[in-house]
Amino acid sequence: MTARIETVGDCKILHVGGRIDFESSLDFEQQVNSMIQSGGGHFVIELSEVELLSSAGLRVLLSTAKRVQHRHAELALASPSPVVLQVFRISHFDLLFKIFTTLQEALAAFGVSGSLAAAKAGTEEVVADKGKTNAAREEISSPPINESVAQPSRVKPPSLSEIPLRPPPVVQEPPPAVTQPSSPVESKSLAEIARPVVPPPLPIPVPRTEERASSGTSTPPPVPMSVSADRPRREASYPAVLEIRAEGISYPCKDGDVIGTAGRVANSFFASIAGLEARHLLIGQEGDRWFIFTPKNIAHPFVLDGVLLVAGERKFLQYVEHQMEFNGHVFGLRLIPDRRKKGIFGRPSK
Amino acid sequence: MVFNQVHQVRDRCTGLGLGALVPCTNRYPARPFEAMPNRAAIFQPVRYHRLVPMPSFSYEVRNRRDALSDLTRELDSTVLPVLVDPSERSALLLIVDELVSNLLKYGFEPGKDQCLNMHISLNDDWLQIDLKDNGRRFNPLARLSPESLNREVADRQTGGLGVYIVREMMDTAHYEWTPPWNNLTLRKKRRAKDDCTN
Repeated sequence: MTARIETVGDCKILHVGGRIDFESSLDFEQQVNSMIQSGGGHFVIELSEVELLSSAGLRVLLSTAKRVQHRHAELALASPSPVVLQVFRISHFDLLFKIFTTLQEALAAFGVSGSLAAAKAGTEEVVADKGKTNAAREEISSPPINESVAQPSRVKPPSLSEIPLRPPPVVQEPPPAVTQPSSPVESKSLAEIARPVVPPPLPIPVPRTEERASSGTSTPPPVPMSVSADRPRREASYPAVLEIRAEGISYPCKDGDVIGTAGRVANSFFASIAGLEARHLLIGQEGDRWFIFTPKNIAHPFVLDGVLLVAGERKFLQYVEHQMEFNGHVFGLRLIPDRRKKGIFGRPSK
Repeated sequence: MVFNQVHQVRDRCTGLGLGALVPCTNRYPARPFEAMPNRAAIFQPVRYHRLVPMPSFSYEVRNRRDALSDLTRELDSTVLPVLVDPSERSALLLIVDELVSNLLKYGFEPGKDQCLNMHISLNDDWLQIDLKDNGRRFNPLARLSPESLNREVADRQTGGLGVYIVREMMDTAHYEWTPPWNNLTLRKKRRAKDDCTN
């Protein structure tokens, strides 16, 4: 799979090529994440060079649409190849997304002015090449296509119903981009590797939306999907019990639990998720406070409340509800106040 | 039992050799929508309707994590160059990706010696994929279409979508359980060579 991010005005364009299949879907998700985290109010995924889009790729597109919707931004798909279009029609994704025959049409719909060629000078590029096909390799070695020319004519003009996702005009600033460290696995205990890189953040009350707007903060924290933007998030009161909520089932956690193929917590749920490492996320407790930790060898970390976790850093849980996401699978972390009496007569309170 | 003998020979042949001789029976029909031959018709002398080589390819997929990438690499070097039509190539890759990844995730049990035998055969009219595995019993054709297919983005789920896409892309599909084997036969009508311009 090949991918390249381009910026035209307020619009971020992700050019994707090659095969988006079960194995490359993680790379695709990674590229989409970097596009969204690079900011902007409009996102376009250009699919003219895609020769295969499997359900794993559709899952990434769907989770992207959900994330973009919660950021009050807009997402469109441009110039899908006939193969991709067929998959969209079968899966009814053509009813979910704004799909445009050419990239120019997509940009025009977003009201982005200026030609692509002129914007090429300021292009920030991220290229992922997994060398899967000869076609993909040729694409990398060949010079870039002149994108001021209209998009490939082999795309049949589809009769697509363009149903907008939800077009609120408010555009939020994105969180700062995160880097992906890729250091080798460290074979140390959880207590050793999970040393905090930054001091644990104190619980900061999140002001209401109006207050945030009036205070003029440039980078408000992203609104989690599960919580309404109008309502502040409930702070967790420690001591608390942590549980994972997935598919309507609660799985209690304990200090040192591991999420991954080697983990035991919520194993029935995580076994169905492809692409998890053996120790993908560690759950720990420092004093009373719960934290999660992504080991440094993890290339595709979880997304916590819409923000990609940083490998090698602890993230303390400060709210009652958190939403985690990976490869289109969503689950929750919930902190329930632990009011059990201590001692031998202790009983759980109702 | 000329009928059986011919098929034994045909089944053993995975290259271009004896595949040239294809009997007109109900198992490898020349015209799929032809009426099923009755018992008398089966024992009629075999008629050979084709004298050009018919490629067919066999693959074995073991219960390993990286089996899918190995298989894709094999397909790239064997069957895909034979397919002229890009939509056919994509369909084949998509089907293999969906079904084999599904099988490796849910069908095979970790650490067990299980395998999938895949046979791809081509003629002028049809692309046929036979899949036979000894994983968990699973009939992909019995699954209904994903319920959330017409829902909005927020309510949309993607579980079962891969199998649904495979079923929709193929023209005919047949599943049979012969313990301990899942047998799935998928067929897709091929376009005429003149139509495969793009």
